[in-house]
Amino acid sequence: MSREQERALVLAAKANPEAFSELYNLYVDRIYNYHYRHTSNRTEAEDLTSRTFYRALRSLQSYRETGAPFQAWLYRIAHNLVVNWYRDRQNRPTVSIDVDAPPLLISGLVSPEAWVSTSETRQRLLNVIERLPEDRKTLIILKFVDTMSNAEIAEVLGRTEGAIKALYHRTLISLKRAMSEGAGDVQSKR
Amino acid sequence: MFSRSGKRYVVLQEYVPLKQQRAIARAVVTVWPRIRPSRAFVDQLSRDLATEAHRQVIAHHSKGDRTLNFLGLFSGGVLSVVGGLAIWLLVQRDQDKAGNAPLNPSQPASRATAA
Repeated sequence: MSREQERALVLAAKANPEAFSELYNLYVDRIYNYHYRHTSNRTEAEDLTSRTFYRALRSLQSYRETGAPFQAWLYRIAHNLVVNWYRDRQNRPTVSIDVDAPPLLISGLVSPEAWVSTSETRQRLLNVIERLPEDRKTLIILKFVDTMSNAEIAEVLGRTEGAIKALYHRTLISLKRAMSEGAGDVQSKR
Repeated sequence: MFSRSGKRYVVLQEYVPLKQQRAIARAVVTVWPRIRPSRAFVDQLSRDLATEAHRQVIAHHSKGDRTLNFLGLFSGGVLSVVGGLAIWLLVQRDQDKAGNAPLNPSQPASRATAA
């Protein structure tokens, strides 16, 4: 969907809240996936998705387009809810990485599909991602899964584009190290 | 002659080549595909949001009605006060005219005052 089409939908929803359903249908899958990837729990993801859209509907009149698309604004709401969720669950159990497992990296990572073809390596990569801090996990979802630009991600996380580039770089290095060393600690200091 | 240096170099910035960046991205997407919500959840939330939107529309209209009522009452009050003031001023002016009227109707009022 182009920016113009999205803008038209937003204007329609602002004029008549009952037109919000179009925006909902457009983004519900992505917002749910975003929450699910953070919580790893369907019930939690559904709850956070509901709250995201309720909040968006109630504060739609306050939305002002300032260069960033509506999508970034919606993700910003979702992100704030996720941050609160992490805060509420500070004592959540962490997934441990098996330190005796063999190294993950195949030479040059030229064929990731082949590399993640075995259940062991798949699980290892999942564990590595699961252990990432919240902002890096968000970055991975928005960058890799939702293919958002750095500017849009900056809008979501409330940071500058330069900061996002730096965070992206650090995240890549963390992932690369963890995948190549096997038991790398990806929870590196920010 | 080649001699091994005793210096140790610190890598200031580790670089991830573009090819590896793409490989990492593809690997992440492969193990982390998009998860879709259940149809039942999507439909239920859609209905709930529609109800909420409808409630907002009604609330907006009733708010508009309340605003109109308030404006009507307020402007009516202001007009009443202004009208009252205007009548009072007119009455005062008439009374002033009556008070300044000459004793002898044939003499102008100014002369009577000067005398």
